[in-house]
Amino acid sequence: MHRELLDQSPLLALPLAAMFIFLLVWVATTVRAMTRSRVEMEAAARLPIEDDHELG
Amino acid sequence: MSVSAQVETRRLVYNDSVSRWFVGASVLWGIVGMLVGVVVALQLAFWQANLPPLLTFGRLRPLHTNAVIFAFVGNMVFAGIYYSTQRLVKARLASDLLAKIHFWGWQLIILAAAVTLPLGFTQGKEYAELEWPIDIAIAVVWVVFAIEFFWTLARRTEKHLYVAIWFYIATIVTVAVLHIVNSLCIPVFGLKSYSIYGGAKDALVQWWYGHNAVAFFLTTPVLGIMYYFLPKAAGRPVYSYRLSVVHFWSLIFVYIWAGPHHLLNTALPDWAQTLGMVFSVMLWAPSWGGMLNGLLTLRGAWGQVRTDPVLKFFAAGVTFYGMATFEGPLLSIKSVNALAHYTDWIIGHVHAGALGWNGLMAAGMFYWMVPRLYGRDLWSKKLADTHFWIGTFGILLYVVSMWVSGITQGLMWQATDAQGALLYPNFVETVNAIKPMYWMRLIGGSLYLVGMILMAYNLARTALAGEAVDGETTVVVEKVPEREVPWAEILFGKPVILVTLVVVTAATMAVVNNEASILFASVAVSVAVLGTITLHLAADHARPSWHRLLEGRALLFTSLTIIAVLVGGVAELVPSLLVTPSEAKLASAAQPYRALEVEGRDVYIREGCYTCHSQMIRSLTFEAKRYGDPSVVSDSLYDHPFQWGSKRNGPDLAREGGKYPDVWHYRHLLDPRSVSPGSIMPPYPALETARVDAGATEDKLRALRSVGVPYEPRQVQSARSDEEAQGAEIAKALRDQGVANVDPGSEIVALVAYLQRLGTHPEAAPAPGGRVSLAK
Repeated sequence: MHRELLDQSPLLALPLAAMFIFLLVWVATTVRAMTRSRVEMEAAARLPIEDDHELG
Repeated sequence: MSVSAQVETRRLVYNDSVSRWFVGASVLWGIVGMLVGVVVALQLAFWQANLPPLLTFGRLRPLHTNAVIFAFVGNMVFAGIYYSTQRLVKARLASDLLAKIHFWGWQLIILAAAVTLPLGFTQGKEYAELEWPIDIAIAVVWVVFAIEFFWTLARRTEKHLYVAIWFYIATIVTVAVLHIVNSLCIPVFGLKSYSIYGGAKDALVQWWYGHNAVAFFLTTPVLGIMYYFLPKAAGRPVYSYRLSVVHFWSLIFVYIWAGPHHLLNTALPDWAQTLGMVFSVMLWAPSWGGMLNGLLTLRGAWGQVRTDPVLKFFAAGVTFYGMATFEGPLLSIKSVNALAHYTDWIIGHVHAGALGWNGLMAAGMFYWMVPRLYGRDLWSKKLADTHFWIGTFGILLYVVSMWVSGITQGLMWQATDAQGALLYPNFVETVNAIKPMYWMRLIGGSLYLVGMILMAYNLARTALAGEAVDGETTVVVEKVPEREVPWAEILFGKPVILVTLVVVTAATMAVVNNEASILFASVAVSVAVLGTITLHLAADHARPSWHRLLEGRALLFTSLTIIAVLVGGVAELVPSLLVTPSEAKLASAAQPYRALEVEGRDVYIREGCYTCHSQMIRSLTFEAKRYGDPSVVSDSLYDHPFQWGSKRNGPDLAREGGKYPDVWHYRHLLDPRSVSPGSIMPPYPALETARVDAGATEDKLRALRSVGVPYEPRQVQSARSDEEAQGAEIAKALRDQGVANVDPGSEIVALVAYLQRLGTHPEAAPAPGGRVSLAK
């Protein structure tokens, strides 16, 4: 099927390659996000809550 | 400042003046933009509310969309970004001067829009109507904003970039790309230009831009604002930081591809339509990831939602976001879109997002921020609650009326009898059926505007009763900064090497035969899975994770974000811009417009006719029955800009040429109801006496030639005489048909010339009505 697509124009390999890149990045990002430590995550999540350390 | 051997403590005062200015500007322009919205809603329900030539629906609708998107939401986004970024990175804005230039530059752009759009200076592209000098100003001001933002990041004392900052980065870089690419044009003179793209190519670029204006101007910065202000208001951290990582990367990658869902069943190549549809459906997942993250942040705090108007607005805003991002993917499915496209259902969908997500989030942010910017409590919580209920009720009236109207329109357009003939062949019948819904929409929109005015009053009373306060904090700065991880270690880190290896293996599929490609695909998947598992097991847990390192490196993060958003754009736009469809290679398939027709087309664009009339007969049976053969690429090949339209308040005009005699069009333009009883189209009496500027026609043809329209040099040189000749022909025909005193050089004659040209193509089948004899 991809051969039919590429017969119309070799440029149409771009969407195929891009979709594959997306899938890989997404899988890699998800796995890394799920395996990071809870301590790290909680510290990052608290940044907006803890920026109220104000003078006076 | 106190100093110890290793660290020093510094006092930091934020620049909150800029946030105060942007909040004020947002509220003011929000009321103006929504007031224009109420006016255009009235004009659809009551055509007499059109006041030609300046205040007609076609000229005011772009003013409404630009005002609410760029003036209301734009100023709100800038207020939120400047307020939250300083606090998240623990650094004052890098330059007070750049902040002032950004603020005043943006307001001057808005004023320029408010003046030029009603005067008819428009590029005729939705959400990008502003003419080229204003486009340049937008680019300059955006660069100023980007410099201020990234310079502030460079001076930060908090190294970790919180998730809100990622969304702001994605917004800044993507909007720059979108604006520059879509705005490319050839100026003709002063405030007139033509898009360098034409026909289907322009359609694809325009809706790649248009949908991503929604994505990266109306969604991502407001998601960043949600990730900061919602936890602040609720006093609890975001529900899942892990989810925010996955949500961010998925959203910014997938969103870019969704543009073609605005062009389903059109002459756009099938592969582009399918890509748009599939990615739009996939977009549901990351969108709801963000919605769930926002709503679940409120778990344990739902009791506060009852008493705190800020949380009411945020909870409702995020809920409307979820609703709109569920409806959007559904509308992107071809079969659903066949019913919904060009109808009011799309308008309802847009306003659920704009009024529900953008409007309510803005209100929540303002109600939280303004008391802190002025050092006192909100003047009236009760008034804020009243605003919430009036506004929410207004949204529901608006959206429900548009659902009913849209589905009614769609079904009536499709309805056929037992013999297969259209049940409602006269378009006006479908307009009359939905008029009650237009009045209901007007009421809903007006209620929402009342809510905005209540908010403006409440915030003004708060500001007047307090005094301007700039936030302060202390920061602890290490005197000897810890060793930064080198660039090479991040850029050539194991995850990047793994991804590169897998991509190269997969890309080999494109150049080998079917059997070998299956083998390469299997190898790629295996390497990906095994590699990921191996990396995880081998990770040194004592060192910061790879994404954590990425978050700390603002420039690297920005670069990878740019690549993520560019991939979809390059993949969708490059093939269609470089590949010429075979049918368009036939010179005889498309002929450029004659000189007078070009002038008529410019009148059409100036008056905003495309806001009510489409020029795209979709490849659907009921459309062909009503309008003639489905449109093909060559029909609009030389349309710079394209005029496919996105809404039908009136019939499609793609094959209008020859359907009616010239006198019909003449009378229709001056008084639509004289030939089409029940029509809601405004009259255009000024066209009868306004004259075409014949001196400019040659420049226009020359400019069109420079963007690829194949005018011969002699055609350009003889533009004036050809224009006069065609004008004289039409004027004579009109006199023969009973119209006295026709000026052959008038704009109405030019517009008739253009309308009679539409769809008159060598290979097109005649429209169902056929050409009406001039003798009638």
